[in-house]
Amino acid sequence: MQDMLKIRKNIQIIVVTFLFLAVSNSCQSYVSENVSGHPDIYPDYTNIVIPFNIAPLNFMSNDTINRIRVRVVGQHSELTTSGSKKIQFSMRRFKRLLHGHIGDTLKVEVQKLKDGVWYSYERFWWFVAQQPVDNYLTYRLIEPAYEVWNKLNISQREVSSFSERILADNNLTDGACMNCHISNVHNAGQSFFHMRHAKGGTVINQHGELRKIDTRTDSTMSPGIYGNWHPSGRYIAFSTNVIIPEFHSHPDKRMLVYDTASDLIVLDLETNEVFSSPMISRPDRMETFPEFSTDGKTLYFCVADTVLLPTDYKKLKYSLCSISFDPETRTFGNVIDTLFCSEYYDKTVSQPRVSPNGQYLMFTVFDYGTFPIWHPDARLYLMDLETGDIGKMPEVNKDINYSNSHHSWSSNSRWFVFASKRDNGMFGKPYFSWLDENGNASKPFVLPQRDPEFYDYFYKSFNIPELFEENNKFDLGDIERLFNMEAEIVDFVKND
Amino acid sequence: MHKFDNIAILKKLLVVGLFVFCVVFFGIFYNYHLHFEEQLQLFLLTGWYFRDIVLVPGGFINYLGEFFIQFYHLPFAGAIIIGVLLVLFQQLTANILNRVNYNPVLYPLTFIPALNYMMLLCDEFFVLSGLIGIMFGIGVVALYLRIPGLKIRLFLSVPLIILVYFLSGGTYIVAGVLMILWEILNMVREKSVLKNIWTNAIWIVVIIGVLISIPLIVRNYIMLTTPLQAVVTPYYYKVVATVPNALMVLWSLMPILFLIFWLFPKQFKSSHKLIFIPATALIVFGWYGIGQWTNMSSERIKGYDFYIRTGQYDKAIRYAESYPPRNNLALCMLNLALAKSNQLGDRMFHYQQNDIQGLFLPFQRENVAPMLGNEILFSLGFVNAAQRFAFESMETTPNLKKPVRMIKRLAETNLVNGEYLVAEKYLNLLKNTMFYRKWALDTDLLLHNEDLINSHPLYGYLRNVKAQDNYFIDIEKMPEALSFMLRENPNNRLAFEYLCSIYLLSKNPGRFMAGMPLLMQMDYQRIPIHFQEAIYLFMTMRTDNPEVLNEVPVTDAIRNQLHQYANIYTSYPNAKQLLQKDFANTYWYYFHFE
Repeated sequence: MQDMLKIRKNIQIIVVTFLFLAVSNSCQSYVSENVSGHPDIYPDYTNIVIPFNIAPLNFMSNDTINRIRVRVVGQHSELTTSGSKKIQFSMRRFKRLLHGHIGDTLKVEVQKLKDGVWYSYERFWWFVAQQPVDNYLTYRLIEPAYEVWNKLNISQREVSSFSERILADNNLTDGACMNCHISNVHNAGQSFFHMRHAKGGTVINQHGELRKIDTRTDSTMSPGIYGNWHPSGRYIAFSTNVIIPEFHSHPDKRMLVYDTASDLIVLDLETNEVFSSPMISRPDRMETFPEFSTDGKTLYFCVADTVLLPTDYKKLKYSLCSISFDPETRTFGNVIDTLFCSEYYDKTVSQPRVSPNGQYLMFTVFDYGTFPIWHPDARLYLMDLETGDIGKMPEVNKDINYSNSHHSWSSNSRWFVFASKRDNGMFGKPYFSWLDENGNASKPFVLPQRDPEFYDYFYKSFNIPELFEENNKFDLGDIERLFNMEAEIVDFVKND
Repeated sequence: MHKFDNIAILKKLLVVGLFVFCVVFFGIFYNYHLHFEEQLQLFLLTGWYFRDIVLVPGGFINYLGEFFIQFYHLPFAGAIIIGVLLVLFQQLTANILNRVNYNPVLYPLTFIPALNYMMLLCDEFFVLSGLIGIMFGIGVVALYLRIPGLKIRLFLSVPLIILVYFLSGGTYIVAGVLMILWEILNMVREKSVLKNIWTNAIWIVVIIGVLISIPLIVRNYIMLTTPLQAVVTPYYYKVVATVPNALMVLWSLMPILFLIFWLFPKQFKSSHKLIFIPATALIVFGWYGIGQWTNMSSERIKGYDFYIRTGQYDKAIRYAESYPPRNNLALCMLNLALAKSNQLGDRMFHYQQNDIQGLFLPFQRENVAPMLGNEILFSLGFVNAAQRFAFESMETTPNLKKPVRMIKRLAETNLVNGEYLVAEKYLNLLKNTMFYRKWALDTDLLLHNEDLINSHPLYGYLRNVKAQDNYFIDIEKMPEALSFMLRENPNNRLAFEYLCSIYLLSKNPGRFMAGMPLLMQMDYQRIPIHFQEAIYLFMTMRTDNPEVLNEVPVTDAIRNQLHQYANIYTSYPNAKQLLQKDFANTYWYYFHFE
């Protein structure tokens, strides 16, 4: 009994001591100091335009601190939160704040506690755009390897939350490589991607109905590689390529991926036929990266003269061209227009993507070659298709040493996402940017994560980010079943 | 009483014998295998790593397996860990089987599963987590057997099986089968077959249903994985797409032994000396089995690799005295050791060479060749190529784990290339390990500090010899890459010796001799012996003018030796045999007979 009393007394002493310390700590007086400049935070979410449907922009302090607190102030309400190093907003309160300030600016005040001093930084702003970004973002998660892959999957993330699900996983498909999950921005619910395997093929998703098509034919040099949808959803234009990897010796470079030959083909999903035209499959030229216009009557693509490879690899430069297309007769015109002349700019072009409203054409520009992701100089350019003016998107491209590539438009044409290696040159991450009505892009910001430290301990690249208006209506179980089914075959139809 | 003492002593001797055998075998004769295993994983002491690993079926044994394997870094630690685990495994086995039949004569049979697992651990595709998994499975059964009361046992059986599945994966089947066998045995023992027949029959159906449905539920509702992986889980065999027969045999052993113990008579009244028969058979089984499962060729390669990656080049060369290289992997490591200790030109033909394949390992889509190949490329200063090999090796580990060695190498290649943010990302991982933390913290100090890096003995050297102009590197075209390197840095002795060695091994006198003017400009105190042998041989092939030959920069000893060699070579039809004794270590012998 006495022991029990002793124990109880000890517990009381401990509790009282703890409470005393807690109270004394909370009553401790701190010195405050104003600091010029914005706080050093990661991700850099200072002075950005954000969609009202974005997930909470959690961030953390880059420097060593004791505590951080944040106040996001709007005209109608405000939000405060704090953390020891990280700021993780309440999902519900963050959404309420953003939805209450659509088309308005929020001021963000950050204070950091270091060695007993609260440092207050210059406020930065978040402008909440009136246009939402498409809510579904898919990407391939893969280690930034060279030729060999191990585990990879195509995942879908809800932009408005942190929810992520796997659409396809190579663990269930005998290690098959999967790539290029491309949406049809004109027909939500349509997408395709490739599975490279003896049992593989191109997976066509039409509102959850899946098909697997083997696009190889005796008349084409390879299966379909880089492709994009026709707005009608009936056709997909593909390049067929002979792709060669080379490995650089110089520390500033990693690898070069180029084609020694390439042509364009179009897959007709209604007839399972593949057709082309001598205009887009010239033997003395290499055509690649096809993209249909919004009205479906023009095909944009990149084209280069053949050069001696790999010796003259720096002379391999692609121009951006277009040719007319009649979807009714499946025929191409006889005239090729050049929109961006590689010789004139002494640059190469890849991955043109037309905005869904047909106003802009965004593409990647770099010094030479075909494949931009390992080119630190790869930058996004924007062409106004009405005027032909080309903008270099300074906010998107400024102050970066590494590549921007693989962009994808939101269905409202006011947002786009792209893969950028800007943080360290190795790991690609999805960045969002907003276009104002004059075509000026805002400072990009990285896809927010629940834990702002996530990117530090994540060792995969977000490959080929692609926006989707609708939830993709299939999952990895469907892909596993499809993988074990026979692929549909296609016939090559010769057009004169 | 005396007899029982003897049996007790024999039992203890067998247990101690198992432990000692294991420690001696894995600690002395098969130690490089364990060192190699250790560097094929990256075990992090962080909360998120624990969560990521443990929250999947079988993840618990995976975590424990990795935890123990990290200690393989230390000499003998791996052997002791395996020894302790095998003894525990045997004790758990004995605990269960003794409850079936406590006949001392059968006791040696309780060692069979442990010995069997010891054999499996000699194979690089079997993993320690599998041993922990079977131990956990039968450990739960041992607990189950102690639960008094049929109803409580039956009631607890399902949660226990589910527990085994989620913690240790596939051995839930072993646990379930043993539980079923135990209840049938009890029914027979207590002659209550008829009394409890319906209860037991229903229970058995339920257990079988649970065994079948667990992976189905997991696959459909928790984690979509392949049917095989849903049952077995990937922590028993590194090649996750398959289940080897040996694993099936191991898992079957417990039920089979259970039946043997059950069917065997309770007591041998005649003599306890009979125990020596299974004990002897056990020793023979163990000895023979280990002999069958060990791969000493692989062990030798791992030995060379150990000395190379730890920078002990002299030990690698001494190792070659006892175990000359028998394949290209070992030969490449030895030649690298010779080159790094400035002996390539003097001693490479003291060992059986195999053309250029003995200098560079071609890229293959598996983890070992690129892993070892990256050491050669890194040492020579082909940092980008080493990085590629390291990365691809990391991507091709059979069980998809990240080798800590490759993470370390990627930190180094990015450090040398000035990609500090990427290097830091990899170092941050290593800071969370037990045995690489210090190295990571030390290396972290070099980041962004050009002076420190440039004055570092290894990284400074690599920066000195790094490519100034860009060229493509193809492992099949290393002469071109080495020539580029020498053009940029004519004093790069390592590159020069590798290039000369390529021409010697490919028997290309023209190319070799074209490099000799460069040799004269380098700071050699003397020309390496094999180079002298080649120079004099190639010159005698070009001319017989004594004045010219006298100008050739070789020693008199080499001249005299070549004359002796030539006399025999040109005079005897069985010259190869005659020359082998005194000239097998010369370039001439390689040139003419290899």
